[in-house]
Amino acid sequence: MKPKNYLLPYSCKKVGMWMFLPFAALCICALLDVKLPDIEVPWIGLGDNFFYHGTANLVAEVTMTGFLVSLSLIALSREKDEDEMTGQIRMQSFVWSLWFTSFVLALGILFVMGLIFLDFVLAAIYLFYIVYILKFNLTMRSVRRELK
Amino acid sequence: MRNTVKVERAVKDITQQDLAAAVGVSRQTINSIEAGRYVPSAVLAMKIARYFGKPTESIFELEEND
Repeated sequence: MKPKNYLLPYSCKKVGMWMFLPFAALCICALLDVKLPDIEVPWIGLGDNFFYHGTANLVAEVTMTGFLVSLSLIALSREKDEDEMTGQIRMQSFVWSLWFTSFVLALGILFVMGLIFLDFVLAAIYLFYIVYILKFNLTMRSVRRELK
Repeated sequence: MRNTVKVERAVKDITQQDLAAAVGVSRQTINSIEAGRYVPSAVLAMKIARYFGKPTESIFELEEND
């Protein structure tokens, strides 16, 4: 019986890579406080009084969601030559990324004070994906290079 | 874990790609197994042994530190 790996087809990785550049650029702009178009739209969600009913900046919401989707598509898509060794490299990269993010998060808890801590925690979520993708792809690259 | 996959492959005169296709993995996985960098799962070890028509333990052998 083959175990399920819950990964998306390889084509999704390409879609994620195409999405990554524009959304990463928008996120960097937002981080650097570059003025983005301010499109306020009615919004419903969770807030201080449980339900939030007001407006939200559409560009900011789409940017953050798009960046997360692009990272997820890259991280959670199969490789062209996915097999059990790739699965093991995935697991090692996942654990490595978890250690790294935990360490950064611990430093943040100790040394980042004030409201900026919320931004820091949000960045740590994205950091986990980014470190995982980097570690996994660098390892795969070195494995493939050994064939040459 | 020691293995004689490279030797068996040479005896049968097949490439890493041939073996990889026969057992359903990538060529880099066969290369890593031969180099001792990757220890295959029991299923893959049995598939490789079956391909060569030999018992698994005659191709894959435990080392002292395993």
